[in-house]
Amino acid sequence: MMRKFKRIDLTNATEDYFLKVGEEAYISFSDATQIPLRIATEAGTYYQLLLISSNQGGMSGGSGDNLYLYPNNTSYTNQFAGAQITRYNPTTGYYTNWWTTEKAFWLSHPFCNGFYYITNGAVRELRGIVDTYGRPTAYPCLRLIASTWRNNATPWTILGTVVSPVPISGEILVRRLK
Amino acid sequence: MMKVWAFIDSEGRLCCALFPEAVPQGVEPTVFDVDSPDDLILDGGIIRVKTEEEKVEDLKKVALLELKSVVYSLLAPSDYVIIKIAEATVTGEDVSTLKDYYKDVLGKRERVREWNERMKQRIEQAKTVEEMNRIFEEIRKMEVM
Repeated sequence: MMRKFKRIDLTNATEDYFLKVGEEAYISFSDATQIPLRIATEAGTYYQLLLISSNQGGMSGGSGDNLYLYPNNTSYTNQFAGAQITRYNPTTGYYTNWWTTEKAFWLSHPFCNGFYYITNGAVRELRGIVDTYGRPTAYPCLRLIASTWRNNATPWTILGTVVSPVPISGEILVRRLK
Repeated sequence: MMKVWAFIDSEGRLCCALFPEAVPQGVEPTVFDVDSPDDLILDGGIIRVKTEEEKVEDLKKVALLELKSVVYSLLAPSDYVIIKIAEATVTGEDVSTLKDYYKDVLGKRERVREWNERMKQRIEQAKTVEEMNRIFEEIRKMEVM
């Protein structure tokens, strides 16, 4: 049976909300480069994040630069690592794979639609499947992503802010599963 | 441009908060207007904006990695042709028929390698961030065919 989540609209929230198990945060955004999720978190929690873009489908307008989730609304130089496998469109290339150090959780490139699972526990990581578009090589472009915060010293108390290199529009749903 | 509240964490690492309230209590941040937190560097315990030269050097490292990955992805699907020709060579077969049969594939591989060399040279010689951004665009388009 499908579980129904209780929706909490955090679009215009000014304070961080501690999402409970079974609740789903809804955040709508338009032409934004920074999208604070306004969700408080703590160790031992587990989430599903859905990124639903409303940018027009096509092969332009997106960016080859990175889309991130800054935990605690902060970047931490070289404290993250990201791994990905990517399949581009057939006329321009085939696939690539990467492993790089990062300053935050790597989400993909804008524009994109994706779903991610986020663990704030013994391992602090995010993994997901993303369809990127808005680039000559991407419409669609499939990415499998894993991104890990490789430093456990800093407490993760705020889920974070999505930071994009170009303005993006759409909606984000964050469901707390544990 | 974005505003960041830059600070050094308890382990001596550079961090950039997007909002002043994200700065840990008791820490005195320095505020910068930058394109990205990547524009900042921790230099002898002092946070400062990277020089154009430093930004270009960082971008060069990323560009070389991206180029390598793209070239690999362009060559990998036709690696079997090279293996086939190598096997024919080992077993003493006449490879000229194979080379002729696969001449389009071999030509494409040669163009990929030439493009790779051209891009490497351009990366090595780049002097500005603008120049590097143009190089990234070209690598990401992968227009070598």
